[in-house]
Amino acid sequence: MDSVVSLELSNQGKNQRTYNFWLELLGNLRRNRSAVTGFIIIALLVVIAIFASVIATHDPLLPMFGLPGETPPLPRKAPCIHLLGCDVEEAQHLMGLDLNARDLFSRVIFGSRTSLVVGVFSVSFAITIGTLLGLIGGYAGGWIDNIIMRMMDVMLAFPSLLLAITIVTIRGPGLENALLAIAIVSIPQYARVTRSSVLKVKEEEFVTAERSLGAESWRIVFVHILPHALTPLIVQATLGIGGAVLEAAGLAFLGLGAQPPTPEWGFMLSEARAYIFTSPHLVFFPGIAITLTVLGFNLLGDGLRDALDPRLNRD
Amino acid sequence: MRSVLRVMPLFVLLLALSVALVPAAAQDMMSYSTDCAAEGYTGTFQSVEAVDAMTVKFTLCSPDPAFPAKVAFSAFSIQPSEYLEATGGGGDLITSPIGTGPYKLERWDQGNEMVLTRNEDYWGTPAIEPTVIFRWNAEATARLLELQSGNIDGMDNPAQGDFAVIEADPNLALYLRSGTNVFYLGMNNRIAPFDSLEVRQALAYAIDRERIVANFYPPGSSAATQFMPPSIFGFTGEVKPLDDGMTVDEKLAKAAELLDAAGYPVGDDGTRFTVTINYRDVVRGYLPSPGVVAQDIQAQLAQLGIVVNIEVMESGAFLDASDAGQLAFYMLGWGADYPDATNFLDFHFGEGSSDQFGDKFPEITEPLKQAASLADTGERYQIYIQANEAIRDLVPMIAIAHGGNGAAFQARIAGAYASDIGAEQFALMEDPNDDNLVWMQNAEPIGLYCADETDGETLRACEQINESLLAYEVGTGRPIGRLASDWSASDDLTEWTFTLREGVKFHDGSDLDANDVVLSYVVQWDAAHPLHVGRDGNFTYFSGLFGGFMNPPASE
Repeated sequence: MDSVVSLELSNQGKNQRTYNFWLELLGNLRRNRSAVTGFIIIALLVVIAIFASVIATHDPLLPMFGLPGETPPLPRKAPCIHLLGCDVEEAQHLMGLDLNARDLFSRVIFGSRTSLVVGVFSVSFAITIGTLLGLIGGYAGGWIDNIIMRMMDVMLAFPSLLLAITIVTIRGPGLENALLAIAIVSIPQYARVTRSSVLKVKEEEFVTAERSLGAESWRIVFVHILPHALTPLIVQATLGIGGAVLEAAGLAFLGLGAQPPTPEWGFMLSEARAYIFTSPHLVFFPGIAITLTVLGFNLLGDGLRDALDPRLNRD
Repeated sequence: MRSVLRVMPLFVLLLALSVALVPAAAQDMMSYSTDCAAEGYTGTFQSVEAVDAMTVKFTLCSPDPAFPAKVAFSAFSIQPSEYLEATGGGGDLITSPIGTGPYKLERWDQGNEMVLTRNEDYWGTPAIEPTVIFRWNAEATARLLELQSGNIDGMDNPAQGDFAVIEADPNLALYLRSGTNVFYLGMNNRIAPFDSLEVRQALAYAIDRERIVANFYPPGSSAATQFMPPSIFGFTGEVKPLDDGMTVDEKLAKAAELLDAAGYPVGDDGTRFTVTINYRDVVRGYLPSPGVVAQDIQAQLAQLGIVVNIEVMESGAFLDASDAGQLAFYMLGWGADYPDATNFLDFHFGEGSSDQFGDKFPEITEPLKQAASLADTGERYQIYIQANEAIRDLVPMIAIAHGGNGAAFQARIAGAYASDIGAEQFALMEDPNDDNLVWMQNAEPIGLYCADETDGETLRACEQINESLLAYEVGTGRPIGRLASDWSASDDLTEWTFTLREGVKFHDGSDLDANDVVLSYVVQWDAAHPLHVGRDGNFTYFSGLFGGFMNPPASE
């Protein structure tokens, strides 16, 4: 009987707290201008990624050779926008054509899918493993904690991009492997963040109370400690997605990420870098796309951190 | 023949002189021979012997009119026999070569630069500049920036869009090479789906060569209609490509029909099959923008439902893998080493060629063997028509383009030029401003024992250091004497005798003699020789140009 009562009580308490937590978070976020900006950028990006096939004007993989309105030479052709005075007879290309005469605008639009997928999935993967390791290490303590955290220290000792390159080199280039590599190298940060929260929370009285009521360890860890460790994880994850997008672009730039003809911003930059002076549009647009995405996630992450900081809740 | 007759009396005189002057027992003269009819022997060498200290005689199993042109090639440069033995045929031979050339290797800072200094004891006209520095950068734009900023004196292969920039710059000079090269898509007929003739033919129809050349090649390039470049003997204009006169749509329809017939219909997912295309990300005259062309081929084949995955490989590993027949589908090319059909056709499709296209076709190897043994140019031409037709119909590869390209130098460099075969002699160039000549090419040389190299960037470095019996005359490409002062052939073109130049010293101070020549050839020829080592042991040029090895390794 006792355990049933405590379960109901704790559920009730959690629901109430969750409700307040999210409401408070939203209120705080709304007041933070940079967070709103970041949120808008990311929302836009998500919409673009989901509706890429509607927004894109052309097939991102199709060279424009021999199509109506395409006057050669086609590769690296500058943008042609009818509204801005480009000859109406010419086919319209908002961002021009790339080295293979494909529509750059469509490629940049579809590139948002690749980047978001890498960002979200690699961080989800890393956060799952990292949190688990952090929870186990922090709660168990002793030699288990020592082994886990020393392993994390070893991984942190390598520059993350270098470690990612090593992993991709072993597993072979490709989007999946790049995603995995980025996920693996970002595990330690989540493990550390989780562990430090666990160490703090596990000394709290409600945990002692729960334990004295006879709750099992896994229950204490997942139901009672984990929710308290979520706050810093959310911030870390949001910032992490921005970092992951950047790392994926870096790997692709080196030819280790998404493989052609997949539209990928980093690879697009890498292909066009030799033409930065003669055809700047090829470098400019993918570059801007990467910048905006990373900026969006960083602004939102910073905003979240401020919004979640209890010291700032003055009203 | 006329030149041979002209030098005949001189040769006899020299032979008599050398016999008279050299003490008979001074040195053991080397001699190697084999039985032309021996089981498994496909080569054209019968014997190589040092007649005396300064005379070497080659006896061939069959006549070879291109023999002087082959002997002049830098893969057959002469190494000191003592050094060959000391290095065991590999090792130091690759990183610190000893030659007779106008320059010797001072320092090879791998990954960074290669410094050559003038050979003060050179037998001929010494090099003008005391130092030549080789540098490399895979990016054409980066090379041009270095040239514009004055950090280097010359660069290879400007980017397609930069030809006009260089011509407009009064400080720079552009030297053009005609497209004496070929870019091709190699297919290995031992690996599915390329084991099917229909598939190979379908791809030959499917690839739009004009589109590739028009969009991704510099001015002066042309779409290939056959493997031979038009300016080199062995090009037969009579042989039209399979898709001659067809429109793009007709070609695609024909390709689809052939693929259906080959048993590769469009599947439920809209694709026929998936292949991986390999290439090395290096710029060569035959392929100025490899990544872009790879993606265009990918897009072209996607129209037919063929999924192409692109896999970039490291340059050396790529060449080794393609030579060994491990790559199914790859982008590679060939630049002329000497202006003759044998350099293109025999090297790639002859009996002694590598496994790069898988099994060889007698329909191709037979006429090539026949043509290579004829002295009469007219007769040879007729047989090359047969060979080129067989290559077209059997499609071991798809010839795509002959890339025009060039080299750019500072305008002040006197004697600068771009060799059609990529064999610039820096000893002939002068930089009035300082004591060195800095040359930047596409890639780092792979190794400096060029008997076992095929990469043009590598050969260029070897050519400054090592010399062959003969050389190509700058401008005409005609064979002229180098380490051999004279040479002559028997009437049936099977016996070739070379008289070595007097007073030639290697960089280590030792004298050149006939044994050096014999051993330099034999370590390449005899696959069972303890010094037949090299860098990867392929010795691709020898087997390609002379039909095969003595004691060939058992084929798997």
